[in-house]
Amino acid sequence: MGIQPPEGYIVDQALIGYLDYARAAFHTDAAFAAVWGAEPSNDQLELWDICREMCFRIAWKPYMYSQTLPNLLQSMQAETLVVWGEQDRIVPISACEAYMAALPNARQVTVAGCGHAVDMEKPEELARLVTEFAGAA
Amino acid sequence: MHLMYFTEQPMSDYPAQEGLDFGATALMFSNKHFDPVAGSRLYNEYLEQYLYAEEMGVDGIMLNEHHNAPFCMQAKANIFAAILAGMTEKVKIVMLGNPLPLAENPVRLAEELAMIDMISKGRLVSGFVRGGGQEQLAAGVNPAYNRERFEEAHELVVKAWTETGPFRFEGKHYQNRVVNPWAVPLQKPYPRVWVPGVISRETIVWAAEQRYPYIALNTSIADTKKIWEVYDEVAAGVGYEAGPENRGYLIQVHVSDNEEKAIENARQFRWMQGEFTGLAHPVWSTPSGYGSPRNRRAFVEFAAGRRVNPRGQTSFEQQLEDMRIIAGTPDTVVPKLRKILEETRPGILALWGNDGAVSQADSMTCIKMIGQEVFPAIREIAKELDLKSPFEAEAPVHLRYSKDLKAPVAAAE
Repeated sequence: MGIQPPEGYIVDQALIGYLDYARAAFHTDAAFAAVWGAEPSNDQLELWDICREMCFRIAWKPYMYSQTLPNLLQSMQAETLVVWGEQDRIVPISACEAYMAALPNARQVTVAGCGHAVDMEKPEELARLVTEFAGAA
Repeated sequence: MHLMYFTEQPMSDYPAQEGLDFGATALMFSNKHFDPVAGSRLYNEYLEQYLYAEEMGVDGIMLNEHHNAPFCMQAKANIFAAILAGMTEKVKIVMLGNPLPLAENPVRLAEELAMIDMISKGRLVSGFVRGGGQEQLAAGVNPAYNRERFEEAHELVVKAWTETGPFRFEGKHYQNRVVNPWAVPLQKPYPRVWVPGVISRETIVWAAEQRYPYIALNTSIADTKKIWEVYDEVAAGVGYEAGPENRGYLIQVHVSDNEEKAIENARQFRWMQGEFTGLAHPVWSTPSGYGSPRNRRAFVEFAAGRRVNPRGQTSFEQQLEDMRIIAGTPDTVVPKLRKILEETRPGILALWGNDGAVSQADSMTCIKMIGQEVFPAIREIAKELDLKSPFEAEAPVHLRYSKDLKAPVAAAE
């Protein structure tokens, strides 16, 4: 559960197909295919359906965000690293700005050439960022 | 035999090409294409049809609701039910039904239904449905909790109808500090509840456990028989023998004064590009968590365009052949309906008479012939086959009011 984007909306997976939603998590279809293949198996589609059901169970309304989170984040004292894909097509970048406004001690890194699924699209860069952040903290 | 008239109340006056160009005629198909002038005319035509159906001698008028789509104009079935409660004298007002999970406050729904029952002087049949997948999305209701909400809302509505208030209700999905409606049903213990459905085994099982009649919605004869096998087995398991009074059947039947016109008008049953709920993305009609887990794989593959619709898709000609659509004059329609009655033995029969762009004049002719020629013949056949409605059989409203329960099979074993 994230933060409500002040501008734009989080993409609603209830309205689009499994493949369209999964592809939207990457900044290009080629980047998606590099991880999942151009045509993921039916087994994979079924797993995505189960994941989708779980998202609905825990984050249906409000969809994918918590209304109390911005207030809770203001009490966060620890240093925080906020990593965002520059071409995120799932959650508007305005949500990243909202995180930065709410967190008292946060640093933002925007990953170029990357969509929403930074962990899958740029795993090595994310690992480096986290390692450096953890080492410096 | 209880004999009803039904129409989906199609919003037939919309630019169909716009839907084809958009690729969908449901949920996300913009309501900028809804013309309220045409809507006003059509609502009043449907009201005229219902009043005429009563005049022509039908036993009941079946009502339903859908949202965000031209295939059905009723956004709140209780509104037409309330109008008919005041404007009709004899017909049962049969809700098939109110989508319980869509109710954010089931007590308010219980109040509305109680008002309809009192205004109609006890003519309400209060069917309940889960609502289709798209209805959940249109109403913003979580599809993954659809069945839980259905069962819990049913519990709360029945409590509101039968238990003296004030009382408190603390459920998983519904919490009401004070349940104390100053509107309760005229019919006791409460209005009959019928449960329509198509595919979900869980709903058939639930209806049989409650001893609520199950209304098979335009299913094939073979599928209808399978539904009754499940229902009968569950009924025996809880201690009663199911019969025609537990069985309802809705079928698309257009009657006219000549065969050619009847067939031509019957093509309108396929007016929404063959799928009566219209063109839609499969994930809208079956959102994740809405359907039975055993059907998950099939719907996922269908949604990705990798298999045919598990709900089936057949041509107009095939549906005529299978008698899922019947069209003709009373002379040709009655023998086909007789075959269905013999094969499936329902005590409740609803004829879905008109759809799409069938003219008001042809719709009224259809209603007249259904009421004055088809239904009288069906009543005679029903007597011959001993097909009694829940009213004729004096069936209990719910299992808990049964006086004929045998030792449950499971316990006996």
